Amino acid sequence: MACAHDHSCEDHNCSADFSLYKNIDFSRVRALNESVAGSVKSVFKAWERRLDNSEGVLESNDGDPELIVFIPFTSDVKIKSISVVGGAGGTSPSKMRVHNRDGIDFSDAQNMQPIQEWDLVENLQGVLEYQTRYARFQSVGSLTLHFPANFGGDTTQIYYIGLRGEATQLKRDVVATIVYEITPNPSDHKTPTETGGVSHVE
Amino acid sequence: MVLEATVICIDNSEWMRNGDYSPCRLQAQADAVNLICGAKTQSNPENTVGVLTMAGKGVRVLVTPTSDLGKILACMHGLEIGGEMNLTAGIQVAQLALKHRQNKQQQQRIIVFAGSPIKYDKKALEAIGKKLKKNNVTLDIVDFGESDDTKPEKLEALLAAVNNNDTSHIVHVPPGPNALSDVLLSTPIFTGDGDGGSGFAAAAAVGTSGFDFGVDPNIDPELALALRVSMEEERARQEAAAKKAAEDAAKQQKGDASVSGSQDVSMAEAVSNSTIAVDDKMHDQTDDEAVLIEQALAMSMGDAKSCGPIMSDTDISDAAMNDTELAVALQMSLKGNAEDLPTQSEMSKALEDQSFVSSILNSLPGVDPNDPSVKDLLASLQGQSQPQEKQNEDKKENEGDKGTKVKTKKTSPSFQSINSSTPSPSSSLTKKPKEKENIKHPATMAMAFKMATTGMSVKEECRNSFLEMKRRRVHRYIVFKIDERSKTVMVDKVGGAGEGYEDLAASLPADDCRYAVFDFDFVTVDNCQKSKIFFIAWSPTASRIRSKMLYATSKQGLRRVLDGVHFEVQATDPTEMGFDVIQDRAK
Repeated sequence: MACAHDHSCEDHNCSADFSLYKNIDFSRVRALNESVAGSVKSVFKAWERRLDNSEGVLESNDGDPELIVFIPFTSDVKIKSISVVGGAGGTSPSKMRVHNRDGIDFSDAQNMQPIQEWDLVENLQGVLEYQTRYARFQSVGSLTLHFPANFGGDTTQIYYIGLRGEATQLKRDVVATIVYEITPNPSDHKTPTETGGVSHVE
Repeated sequence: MVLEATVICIDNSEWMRNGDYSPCRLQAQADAVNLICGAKTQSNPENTVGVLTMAGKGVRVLVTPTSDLGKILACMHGLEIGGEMNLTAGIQVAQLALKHRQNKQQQQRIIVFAGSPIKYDKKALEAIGKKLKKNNVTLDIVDFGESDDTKPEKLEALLAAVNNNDTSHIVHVPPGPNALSDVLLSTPIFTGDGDGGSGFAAAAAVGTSGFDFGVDPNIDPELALALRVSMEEERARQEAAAKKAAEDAAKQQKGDASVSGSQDVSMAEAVSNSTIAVDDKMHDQTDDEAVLIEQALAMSMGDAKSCGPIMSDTDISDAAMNDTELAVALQMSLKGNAEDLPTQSEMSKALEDQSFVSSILNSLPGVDPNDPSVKDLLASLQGQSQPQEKQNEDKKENEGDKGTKVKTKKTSPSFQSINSSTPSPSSSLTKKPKEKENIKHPATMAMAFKMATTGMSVKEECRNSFLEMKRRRVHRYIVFKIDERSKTVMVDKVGGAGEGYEDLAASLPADDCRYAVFDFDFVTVDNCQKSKIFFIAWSPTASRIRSKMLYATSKQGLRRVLDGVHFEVQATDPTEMGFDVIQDRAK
C-alpha cells in the first residue's frame, strides 16, 4: 500500500521533527551502486538544508538507476515517515522499498519482500513525506532503502533523505565484550573483605 | 589494515601443466596463493580468505572465507589439474561466497588467477564487472600463463568495468626467471590500496636482511623491540663505564675523592632504594663494581691509608642498605678517619647537602630523622669521604641477612676479616671535635657487627604477652628489653588493663632503651569505640650508644613477631611520646 500525503509544513515544526538524522551511525552508512564512494552520507542532514547540494548528491552509476542505502542507527528508533528529495530530469527515484535488515544486496532486494514499499512522486522541494506503517517501525535498529527505478533518467540522484520519528535511547545491540573463563582465576574474584579493609584488633 | 573478505580463484586447468613458470604453473600459483593468504591474515587478524578452483569438473569452493591460515594452506595440497577454466562462473561463485560472509563489515574482494586463454567475449566480462561494481566487490586480476592477443584486452575491459576508485588492480606477469610470487609481492595485490599497505608485503619485499638484528619488526615486534632495547642498554652501560673510567683516571691524584664519589653513588643508590628504578640501579651497581675494584687496587697502591687491605679483602656484592641505623652506628664509630678531602664528585656534594640527605632519609620507612643516630649520620656526612667507603664495603658484607640482594652467609669470614682489620682503622682514628660520643673500642664494634648480623632472638613470652594483649585485652601495655648477655628480647614489665599511659611513661627508664606496646582505646568522631596498638621505640639521648644500636637493629625482628601493630612511634625524649602525640596519630 503506497501512501503519499502532503501536508503544509510550518518550518520550525518540520525541522524539529525530522531530527532522526542525528541518530544515524554515520561511520557505518553504506550505499550500493553509488558512483562516488561515500557520497551517501551527504543526503542525511538537517531539514533546512534539504535542498542544499554543496556537499554532493547520492548518484547511482551510469545507466543503472538502482540504489540501495543502508542506514544503521545508534539506538533503536521509531520512524513515522520518510521524505525523499530527488533530482530533476527524471533522476528522481520512483519506487522505494524498505527492509529492516542489513547486508542486503541487489539480488536479495529483488527477491525479498520489503516491509513496506511506496511509489514516489517527484519531490523536488522536499515537502512530501511518506507515512510508514507505524506498527512495523517501532524499534528499528537499521534501515535499508532500495530504489529500484527512477523516472527515466540515466542515473538516479537523491539529494536528501529525511526521517521523522523518535529515538528511544534503547539499543538492541549485543554485548560488546564477553570474557569467558576456561579456568577460574582467584585473583579475579577477590571480595572486598579479603583485600584487607581495616584490620581490627580485638 | 582494511577489513577484507577475499576469495581467490585458482586456475587449475590443463594449461597449468606448462613449466614456463617454475616449477610448473600450478605450483607457482599455489605459492602465490599461500603468500597472499599469509599477507591478508597478517595485515588484519579479522580478514578472511577463501579459495576456489575454476577448472576441474566445475567450479568448486575448496575453503569458504576463513581467517584460519592453516585450513587454507591445507586445502592447497592435493590440487588437481584438469578441465577448462570457467572464468565467469568462477567469479559468480566467488561473489556468492562473499555475499554470505559472516562479518558484513568486511570489504569484498576477489582475486583471479587467469592462466588459460579466455573464451568469453568482452561484453560478457563487462557485464560481470558491472555487477561486481554494483555490489561493491573489488577485483584483482593476475594475468599470467597463456597470452594471446585478446586476453589482456579483455581483462583490462573487465577491470575497467569493475574498477571503482582504483580499488581493483590487474597485474600482467610474463614468464621469466622470477617466480610468480616474487613478482606479485611488489604489486598492489600485496601492498594493498594506498594507505592500507600490508606490512607483511613491504617487509617481505625488502627482505629480512634489511632489518636490524635480522628480525622483522612486523613479524615479531616483541623480539625486535627486546633486541633493540638490550642493545641500547648495553651501549649506555658501556658509555657510562667509559665515562666513569675517564673521570676516575682524571682524579687518580685524589684517589679517595673519586672512590668516595663512586661510593657515594652506591650509597645514595642504596639509600634511595625504593625510588630508583631497578634498571638504573643495576647499571650503576654493575658499573660501580668494576670501577670499585679498580679503585680498590689503585687505593691500596697509591695511598698510605690502611683501608687498602680491607678493600682487597672485601667481596663487593650489591647489597641494598636497608638498615640505615647500622650504617649510622658504623659511621659514628669510624668517623676518626675523616679527612676533609675536597670531594669533587657531584654525589658527594649532594650528600653533603644535608637537606637532600634528610629528605632521602625521611622518605625511607622506619627511619625517624629525629633518631640521634640518624642525626649523627647527617652531621658526619659533612665532608666525610674515607669512612663512608670503607663502611660501604663492610656494610655490604655484613648485610648478609638484612639486605635484599646480598649473597648470604658471609658473616663469619667477613667477621674475621673485620676483626683483623679493625685495629688498623682504630689506629688512625682521630677524634672529631664536634662529636659528643665516645670513640668506639674495636671490640665493641666487632661485637656490634656480630649482633647486627645474627640478630636478636625474641622470647616466646613476648609473643604470648602480646597476643594476650591483643585478644583478651588484659594488658594495657607491655615493656620489652633486650638482655645483652643472652641476646634475647624479653618482657620487662606488663601493665594491667586499669593502668594508663602515664604508667607506661613512668616505666620507661631515662637512660636505657626499651620497646613498648600500648593499647590505646578511644572514641572516634562518629562515636565508634576503637582500639589501636602503638609500638614505641624508646631510645633516650642519655642512653649508651651500644644500647641504642642494639635496640635499633633488633627492632625489626621484634616487629615481625608482634603482628598487629597499627602505629609506631620513635621517641628519644618524653615529649616525643606524649599522649597528645598518640592521640594525634590515632585520628
